[in-house]
Amino acid sequence: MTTMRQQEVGYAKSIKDFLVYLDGLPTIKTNDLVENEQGGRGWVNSLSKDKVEVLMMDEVQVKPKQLFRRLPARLGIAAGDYLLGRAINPLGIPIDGKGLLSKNKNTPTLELEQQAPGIGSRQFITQQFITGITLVDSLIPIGRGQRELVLGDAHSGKTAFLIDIIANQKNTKVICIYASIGKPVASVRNLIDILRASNALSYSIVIAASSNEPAPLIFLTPKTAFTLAEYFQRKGHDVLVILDDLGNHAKIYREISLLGDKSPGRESYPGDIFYQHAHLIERAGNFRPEYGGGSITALPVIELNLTDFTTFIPTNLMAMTDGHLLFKSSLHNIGQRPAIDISMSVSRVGRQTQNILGSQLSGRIRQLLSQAEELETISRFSSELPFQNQLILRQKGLIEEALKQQSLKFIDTEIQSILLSLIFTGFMADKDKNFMEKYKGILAEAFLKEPTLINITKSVSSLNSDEELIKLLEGVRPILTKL
Amino acid sequence: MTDDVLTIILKDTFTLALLKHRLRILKSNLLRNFFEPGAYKKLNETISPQDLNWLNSLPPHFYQQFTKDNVYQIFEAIEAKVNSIPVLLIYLPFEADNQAIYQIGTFLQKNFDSLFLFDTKFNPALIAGCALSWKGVLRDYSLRARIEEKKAEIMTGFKKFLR
Repeated sequence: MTTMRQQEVGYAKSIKDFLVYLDGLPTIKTNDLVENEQGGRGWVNSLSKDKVEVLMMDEVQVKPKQLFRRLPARLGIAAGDYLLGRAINPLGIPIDGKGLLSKNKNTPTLELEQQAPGIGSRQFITQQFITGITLVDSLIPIGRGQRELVLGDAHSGKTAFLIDIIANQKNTKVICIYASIGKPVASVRNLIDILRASNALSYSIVIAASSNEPAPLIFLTPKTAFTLAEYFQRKGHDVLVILDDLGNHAKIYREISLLGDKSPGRESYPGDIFYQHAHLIERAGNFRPEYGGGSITALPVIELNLTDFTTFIPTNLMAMTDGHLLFKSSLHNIGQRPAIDISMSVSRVGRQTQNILGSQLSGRIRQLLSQAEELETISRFSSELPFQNQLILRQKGLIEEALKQQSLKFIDTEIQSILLSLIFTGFMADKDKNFMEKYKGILAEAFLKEPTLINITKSVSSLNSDEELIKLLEGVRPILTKL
Repeated sequence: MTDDVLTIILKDTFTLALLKHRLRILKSNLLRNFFEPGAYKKLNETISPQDLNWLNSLPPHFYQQFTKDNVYQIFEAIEAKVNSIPVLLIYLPFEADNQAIYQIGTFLQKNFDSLFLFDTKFNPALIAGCALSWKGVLRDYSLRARIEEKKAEIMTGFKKFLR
């Protein structure tokens, strides 16, 4: 029992940077907190017969034989709705300069280390996660509760894409949690500013441990993100968790493990790095009403080196997620936004959440794109192509143009379907990608404002096939020509 | 044999710091005697008179237990044993002098175990009394802890005199 007059203590036996080994603390458990005389806190990472391994979360100088007291609290975070719109560090300390958090005595403190809910608590993913980005929503759809890996080169537009997704959740009631893991302070500040400017901060929480903070604190960032996500999910909310990025997280864990004399494995990562990531990612999912009923959609991010996704950590993450979006800097450089390589990206769950129309349209587009790819090779050797082949190549150009989307621009799924279906109508048969580039915005706006066209937009969700939509669009060809 | 040797040493050695110091000078003294004959004469030049007195105070049968062949083994065993003895840490609000340490040490050995070690730490914040740390549990019997415990009562008492 811990009272004012009796408490458990330990003494520093050995110190290696942020790793401290203590003796004493007879009933300590992993994830308990300890504190030294200067107020430096650490959490118990592992226990052995004669020593306790503690990772220091504060930058204090620990001296041999220094006294550490066991704290009554365990490694956790006070969770509440007041966190929305705020930026905090992994221990719940505000870092946005907006003052103290308005928690009270009734605010629950949730432990960061949680077992992922079992199979009995989960249900089939049936609802699509609308990103507002045509390319993703139509061709690589994501479901609510899905784990979709976002991987790609540096400067290929991954972060901008993720910010777009958050900004596009204004009317979806999805709560967005962005975990910035070991990024520079300037980029964290920039992220908060963009979210604020696009009015996306009110339904978002930013959890950030920047690169200059102690490694154990950075290591905790994704755990805090999932703990908060679970808090909102249990209240029935749909939550989006972005982990940017797990490559940094893996490196931090490697640093901690090597310092703790754990045997290095492939690429010097410890043997349990797969467990560490799988244990996290597994906390996402779509949950049954008895378990809160909400969902946690996870978008872990990993930065690649020269588009090489065959290295250890990216392959691990690909194995534990339900698909991936591959970003390429080469596509980014030629102006494709988002710079996702469609043929190399996959979504294993999202397709089941798409409506019939979306699914058929996506199949039709994928088929056309693969046909066009074959024809492109042939067309290099032949000066004249049959009309049918020319049409396919032109349609490919139109599709690529339709899929291009400027940053912070939301497009409704109905408009996405209409724009993509228009490509297969007679109206677009003689048009090229320049037309699409020029009039894409006008067409999209017309389908939201023009009285006759609005009826089509409204009926899109009730249509049973893409053929029906194409037929409807053929019917309004005169109106479209007038635009 | 290890326990016998340790019991003799611990008769007037109570703190871990002093034990480690005495073991070191005892070991170097024995090694010099065994492997560098005639060096004993120079010993009084290298160690303090207190340490020399302590070495001379050890009974002859104590030294007879050590030979050239077993001296390293015995010291290894003693060091292992010392590392396994739990040490009582006593936080005191004053710097304990030799007499105080002797009094505490004899009391502890008499009442608990002949193989008993303690260390003292000076902590003026305790005000009075002491705090004991034993096997990872800290018990605070200081005036500071008492005041903390009765803080509310003391404050109410003081408030009576506020105008």
